[in-house]
Amino acid sequence: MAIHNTPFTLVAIGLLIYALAYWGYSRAIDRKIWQPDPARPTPAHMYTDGVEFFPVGRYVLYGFQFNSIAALGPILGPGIALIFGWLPAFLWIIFAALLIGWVQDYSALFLSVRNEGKSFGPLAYELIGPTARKLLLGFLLFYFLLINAAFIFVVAVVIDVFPSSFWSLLFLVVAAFITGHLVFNVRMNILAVTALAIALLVVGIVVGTLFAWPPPGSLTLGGKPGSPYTLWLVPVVIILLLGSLLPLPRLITPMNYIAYYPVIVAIIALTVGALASPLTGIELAVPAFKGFEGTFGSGPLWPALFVAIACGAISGWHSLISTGISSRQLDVETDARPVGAGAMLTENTVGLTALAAWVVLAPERVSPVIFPQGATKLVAPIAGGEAAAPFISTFFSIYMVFMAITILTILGRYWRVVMAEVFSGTSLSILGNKYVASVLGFVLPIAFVLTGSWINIWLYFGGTNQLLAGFALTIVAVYLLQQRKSASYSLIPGIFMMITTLAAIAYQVYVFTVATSQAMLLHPTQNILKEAAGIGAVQAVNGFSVVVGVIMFILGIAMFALLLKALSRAKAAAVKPAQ
Amino acid sequence: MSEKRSGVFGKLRDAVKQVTYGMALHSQVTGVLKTRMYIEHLFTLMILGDMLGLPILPPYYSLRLLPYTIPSIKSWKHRFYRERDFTDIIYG
Repeated sequence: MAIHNTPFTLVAIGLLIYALAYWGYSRAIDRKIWQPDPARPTPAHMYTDGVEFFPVGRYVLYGFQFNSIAALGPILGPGIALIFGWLPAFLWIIFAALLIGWVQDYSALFLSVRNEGKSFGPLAYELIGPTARKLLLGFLLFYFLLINAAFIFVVAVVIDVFPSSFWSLLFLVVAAFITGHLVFNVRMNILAVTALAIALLVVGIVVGTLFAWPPPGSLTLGGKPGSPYTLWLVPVVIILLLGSLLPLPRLITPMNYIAYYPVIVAIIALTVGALASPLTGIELAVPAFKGFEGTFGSGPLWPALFVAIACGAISGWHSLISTGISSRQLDVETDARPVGAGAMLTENTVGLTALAAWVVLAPERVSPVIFPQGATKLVAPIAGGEAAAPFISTFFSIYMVFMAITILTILGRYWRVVMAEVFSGTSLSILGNKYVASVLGFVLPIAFVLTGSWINIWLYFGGTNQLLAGFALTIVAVYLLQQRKSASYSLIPGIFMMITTLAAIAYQVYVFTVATSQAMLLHPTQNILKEAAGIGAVQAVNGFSVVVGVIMFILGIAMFALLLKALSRAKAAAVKPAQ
Repeated sequence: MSEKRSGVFGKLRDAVKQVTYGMALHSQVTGVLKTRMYIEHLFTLMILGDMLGLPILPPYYSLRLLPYTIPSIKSWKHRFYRERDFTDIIYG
């Protein structure tokens, strides 16, 4: 067997490039541009309050940053990118890892550290102007809607094909309630509670796999497994609403804690599985290159590829974490590189190992359910073989479900606070109500889910996510120019990401517009909606996506224009460099 | 965290322990601290309500409880006066 035709080669080359990015390029930027000074007090020391501002060691903060930025993005994006073959996906992941991804996370972190630990909103206000903050607020509102849509879609179809994962999810929820009670009310030892919670999770996986009820697709309208038109959406939305509405220590805090353990095991298993592929005989099943054209839904390689792989390459979500939390807990400035760049390069590794799981299968149609199947094929030979395969596929399906659910519950809470901010004091203040906003946050995304087209929803989500990253990179460039420092390392990727993502959003608006105006089905599953409520309902669902896309595009263009103005102002500004 | 260990393996063990804590628990701890912060804000408001023109508690009880509030007044003032934004509240 040729070693170059195995996932090993992808992962090994990728890890070498990541090492180069961390010990070469990021170190050079760190020394030349930001020049960290270990003696300069950070916001964690200047404003210590023991709640938001307090110094934390670099290893703790690295772990926290990685855990906060890790979600479904790096796992699912490579699957869509395979429309163009594995080579473009691989090249974009390593190119972004080297020159763009860590640049955003690290620079946003440093920007906030040098600006009293301010978060993204105040930074946009200060460096660009008041309109920028308002635009950002509107942008985030729709951004969360799209993340929710993309992740709910994935959870629905994965549970539909692997019903065992629902029972495991239910065990997770029950374990979270028990853990929360034992830790916060009974004050039991955390190690004993952790052991109990993990035992419950293992029982959940075993019971889910052996129980395997109902059969795949039996709760799907139309009866075809893997469709988002599934009744599984109902219990999933109920769990999400509970997470969004209950106090944090009751469900979200313990649930995120317990979910960490299977997630970390999955990441390690995938990495080992990929590196062991020359021994296990697992080969690449996807062609290296399939062409530039893509499909009607995806559009051509540019811009689709660059928004398809989100967090595994670059993600705007990370800048919110870097500026909102990590910058306030950085002990010394020299920790910014291991925390910001180190965590992002670890996330890139997750994207790379996920790509390794996707490329070992060659399905006819791209779907989120291919990932657990590919991961099982990659890992089963080193973890018990055929006998263990059903348990491993349940494990990887819950890996996806847990990754989505834990972030969705946090986003649900965030969404309702942003809704309250937007609508309080207006005639629509009811929309800011805790219960109304929570329901809207999880029910509105179902309108996207009913398009049935995962690729389009994902590319919408990726477009807005990467556009936010473009904003962050350019805001960093504005600050650096004000300080009379070289900004090209951040400005060039920032401009590239903004142009690319705006083009991607525009293309998706075009796709949805064509589907709406020509009464076209975006996906065969929309036949179910057509038969139930007529073609008008299909057009309404697709038309809703057009409206959201147009709003996102307008907000993006307006922000782009403001950033360009701010850049020209910054070039003309005469600010002395920070001492 | 516990005392730092010396030697390569000791340092490695420390690092793994801290990364594990950071990944598994730090965000949960931050979330719990924030919940406590909001409750403390409420407590401070109850005790100092008189000064703000909000007679929430009779002054007798406010004065009896004042010593419990004094230690956290400085950080409360800092948090209270700091500009808050929608991008500040990702974890509660």
